[in-house]
This record gives sequence, structure tokens and C-alpha cells, in this order.
Amino acid sequence: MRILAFLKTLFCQCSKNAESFQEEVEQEEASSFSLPSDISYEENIARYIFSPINVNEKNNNLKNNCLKPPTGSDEVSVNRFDYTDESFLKNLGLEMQKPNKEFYGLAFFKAQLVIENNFDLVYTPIPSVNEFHSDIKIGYVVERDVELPAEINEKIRNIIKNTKLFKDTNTDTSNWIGDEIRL
Amino acid sequence: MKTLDNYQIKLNSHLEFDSNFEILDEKKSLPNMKAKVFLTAAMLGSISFVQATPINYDLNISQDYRIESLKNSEFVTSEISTYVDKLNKVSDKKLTKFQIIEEILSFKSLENSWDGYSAKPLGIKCASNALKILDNIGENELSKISDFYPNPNGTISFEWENLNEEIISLEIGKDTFSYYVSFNSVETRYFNKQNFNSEDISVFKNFILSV
Repeated sequence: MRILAFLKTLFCQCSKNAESFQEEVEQEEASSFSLPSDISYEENIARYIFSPINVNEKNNNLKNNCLKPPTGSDEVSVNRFDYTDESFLKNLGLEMQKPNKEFYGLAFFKAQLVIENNFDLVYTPIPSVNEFHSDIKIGYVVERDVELPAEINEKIRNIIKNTKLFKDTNTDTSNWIGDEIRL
Repeated sequence: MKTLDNYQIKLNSHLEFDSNFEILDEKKSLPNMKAKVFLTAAMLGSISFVQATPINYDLNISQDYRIESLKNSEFVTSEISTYVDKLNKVSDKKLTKFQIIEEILSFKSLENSWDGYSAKPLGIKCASNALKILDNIGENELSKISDFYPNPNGTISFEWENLNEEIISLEIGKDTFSYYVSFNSVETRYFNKQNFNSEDISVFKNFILSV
């Protein structure tokens, strides 16, 4: 009986060690991939452009509607480009659009522009999906069929004026084969 | 056999070939040639110098010739180029009311998530309000629209921007509209929750006329 009790104790000890060991491994993995939680002014931020409706195709300028939140939200999804690359983002973007195959390009601007226009830029990673994800918070929850305040429209336009668009409309490959990204 | 490299053909008093042509001594001819070359170069140089500097003419003095200044011709070329660019911009942005209505209808037919981020198609009331405002704006002002587009939440936006980067940006909702006016000489003005009545539309229209 004593031997059995001893073996039982030993077994419990081993399983606890295994669990804590597993936790330690997961924590290590998470910390090795973590980006700084604060987004610096100089960081390049990338926004997916899936539709040509967001672009004035005569002059390749972006329209304000590419940086407006959807109904019921005050957030605009973006990515911290300095920690990733265009092929990763394109691959992820195509995955997001499945079964549709829609992809137009990537729009880039500095984090500084967002902050200077009094919007918040918050690091909001999506674990195991997109560790580079962030959100621009405009501070106003958008309602269906209700116009934004004019002040917010002006701020969005200030950002758009200093945004660069790089096109890659080829959806047959997840590798970036469009315009060379020059920031 | 000695070749004749330098010779001068002489004509006699009857303008006939004079067989007594003389062979010019090269050594003797060189100074004369040099002088001639120098004088010719000096003349050409002075003419080109005159061409390079702008010349102001007294219009009262009648001239039989024109001198084209290099600098002036460059100035004229760049001015023409700028003018052509402006013409192209104007012709690019000229929209008819019919074209705008057509586009508005197409925005109504967009699918859900047309931007890849859960965007909605243009709302019915937003579309009809847009047509109401357009009805109150003259054709000339409509043709000055620089851009218009649907927004992800179902509203529609119009922009009037001139060559001085002054802009009026309008967003139309189901019950009200908002716009801002950004002119270079004055502080930006913001107008929110404007009604679709004649008074508020009239104020907006006056700004459009000023762009």
C-alpha cells in the first residue's frame, strides 16, 4: 500500500510538472513573437485595399471611404508593416476574402499621421492569425445611413492625403508581385 | 605634282574667268584667315549673347524682325504646359447630372461587404437625399464635382476641390447631411446635422458657388 501511495504521489508530481512545463513553453513562444505594445510614431502602417471603389483610378488616389469604420464600430483595422512583409499581408488578405478572390493593394501611412489627427492607434494582435493587427479608433461609433461629423471627415482626409497606395491585383498567387513597396 | 590647296579665282572686268589666278601662300594667308575666323566668331558670339538675354522692345518702334529669347521661349513653353494641364483637369472632371445619377444607382446595387470590411450598399434614403441636393445645385456646379463615392455605412460623399486645393466635402445621410468648407484664406468651417430644407441647402449651395 505504501508503495502504491508512493507511486501515486510520484505520478501526480510528474503530471503537474508536465503541465507547468507546457505552460512555460507556451509563454516562451508567446513572448518570442510579441511586438512592442506601444506603436512608435515612425512605424509604417498598412491598410488592406480590397476594392477599386476605394480608389480614384484616374489618378491612383485613395478615397476617404477606405479609412472609415463599418456600421456599429469606431475601429479601422490596420497592420504594423515594419514587423512583417507585403507577401504575408497579401496571403492573409486573400484568406480573409475567401471564397471571394478580391485584392487591390496596400495603403501605407505613418503612425504619426493617425496620432496627429487625434485618433488612437492601438495594438490589437489576433493570436495565431495576425500578430501585426492594430486598430485606428476614431472615437465615434458609426451608425447605418448616418453621416460622420464633418470634423472627423476632415481628419480622415488629412491622413489619406499622405497615404501611398501600392497595387497588386493579381489574386492567383499569394506572393506579392505588384508595385515595389517603397516607403 | 604640286597640288593647289589655296587659290583664288579671279574674274576680269567683264566678269569672265581670269586665267591668271594666283596661288595664295599658306603662310601669308593664315593671319588673314585667322582674322576672318576671329571676326566671324565674334559676330556669332555677339548674336548668341543677344539671343540669350531678354530684350525689351519699345512698341512704338516698328521692327521688321523678331528676336526670340531663349529664356522667354522656355517661360512660354512651361506656361503652355501648365495651361494644357489645367484644361485636361477641367475636361476630366466635367460630369453631367445623368452620369452622377447613374453612379448613385450603381452604389445602391453594391453587394454587402463590397470593400472587404462589411460595408453596406448605399441606403435608399441616402440616395434620394443625394438626388434632392443635386436637384438644387446648378449643372455648372455639378460639373465641378471632383469626386463622389459610397461610404461603408451606407451614406454617400461628394467633394468639390479646386486647383488651389480648397475643398468642400459633403456627406449625405438618411435624415441630415454634414459638410466642411476649407478655403485657403479663412479658417475651416464645419456644418453638422443640416436638414434637407431650402434654407440649409441654400447655404451649402452658396459655398459651392465660391469654390
